[in-house]
Amino acid sequence: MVGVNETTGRPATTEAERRSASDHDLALWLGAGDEAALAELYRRHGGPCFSLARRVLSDRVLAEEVVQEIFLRLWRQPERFDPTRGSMRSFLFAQAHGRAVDLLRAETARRAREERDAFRSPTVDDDLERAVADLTEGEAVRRALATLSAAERQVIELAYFGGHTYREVAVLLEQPEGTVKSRIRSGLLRLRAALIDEGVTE
Amino acid sequence: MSDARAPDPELDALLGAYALDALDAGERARVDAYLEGNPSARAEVDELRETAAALALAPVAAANEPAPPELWGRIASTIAAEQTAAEETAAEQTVAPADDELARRRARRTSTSARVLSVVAVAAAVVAVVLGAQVLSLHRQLNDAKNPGGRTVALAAPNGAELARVVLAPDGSGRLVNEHLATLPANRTYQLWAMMGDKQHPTVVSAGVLGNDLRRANFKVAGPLVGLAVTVEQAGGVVVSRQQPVATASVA
Repeated sequence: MVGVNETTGRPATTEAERRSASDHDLALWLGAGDEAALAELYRRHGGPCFSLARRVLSDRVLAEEVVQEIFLRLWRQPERFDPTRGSMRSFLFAQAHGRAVDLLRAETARRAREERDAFRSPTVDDDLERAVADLTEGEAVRRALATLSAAERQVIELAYFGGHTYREVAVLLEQPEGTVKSRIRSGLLRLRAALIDEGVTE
Repeated sequence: MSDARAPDPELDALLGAYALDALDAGERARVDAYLEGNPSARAEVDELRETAAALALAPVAAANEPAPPELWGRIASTIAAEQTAAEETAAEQTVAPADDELARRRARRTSTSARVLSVVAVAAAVVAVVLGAQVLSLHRQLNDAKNPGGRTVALAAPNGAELARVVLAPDGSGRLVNEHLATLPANRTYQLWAMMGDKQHPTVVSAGVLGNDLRRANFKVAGPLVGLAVTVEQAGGVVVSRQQPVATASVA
């Protein structure tokens, strides 16, 4: 049925109604120019987007720029989100990751990062190893990651969180490019199957 | 699977790295071109991107990290600044034709004062239509609108922003004039719903599948109308909508 409030004849307008609306509903309201819908999407997904961009860029200020840019872009061009091709969340994460990687690969950002990285281990930090008790979605993803071989995990983490191309990963690990390329793909396909088992992905 | 182009194992092997943004610019461009003609490769990339997105939640701190509140302030103020610019644009374009797509899109997000201006623009457009070919029916409706039996109602977004106007005639016929409902992708359509009968428990019936590029639409309902709603549906429309309306109007 058309979701009209029976007493007022109007759709969701209150904070509570927006909070219970689906991402898909919010995307539609966004298309109608509803700024509060954008605020709600930001509340839901802005934090993880920021966290992802900061991890890739190792830079809080640049990460904020990325997040600001992707939400403004969503506001200006909401039609770029196609719900038949995936969730709003994965759309936003992909936008944040792609933009962060673009910035990273810009030469100035790269130099700054390399200077910082000289003081850090080049491997992914050990957040992924930390045990947590609650069964959060993050926990389910970590369990799914644990089903990959160590070699698959390593190349995926270096590419995704490190923002490296597969060729760079091959150099870092001193492995053939073809091996890295196929481990990324086979690892992602295995991860997808594990996420479906965990109920994270449909 | 389309036969637009044959599968290319070499490019298929790059799809995982593509989904992780781990290709250099040259390879990325090759895969982009490949995906255009290969729906099955495109479907794999969509799935792998969804998988990659889940990775973003793996770091312990990531999933529960709150969105930086000061950053929302910057986003909101940028939007407000753009709206101010849009108002100025709308003011300059008050007499622009209603069919000017660019003007419509520019003026799409407007604040209250800009909305007043765009109402003037729509009124001008309505008059232009009256003087045009479809004179008789609309002329009658506009005359009716001045009478107690006929009326104009606004279809508004959940936040109250007016998106379209509807002229209702006492005989149950109506005419919708779009103001700010954006053009949809080709596989979507706007659909108009009439809420009939009891205001507390209305019967909802489709009043028309309006297409993806809505300008004006005529419709007719039989019976006491208490409200209108516009939803976005798959092209072709639906019998019963499961969508939240993008715009509604109450007909008291």
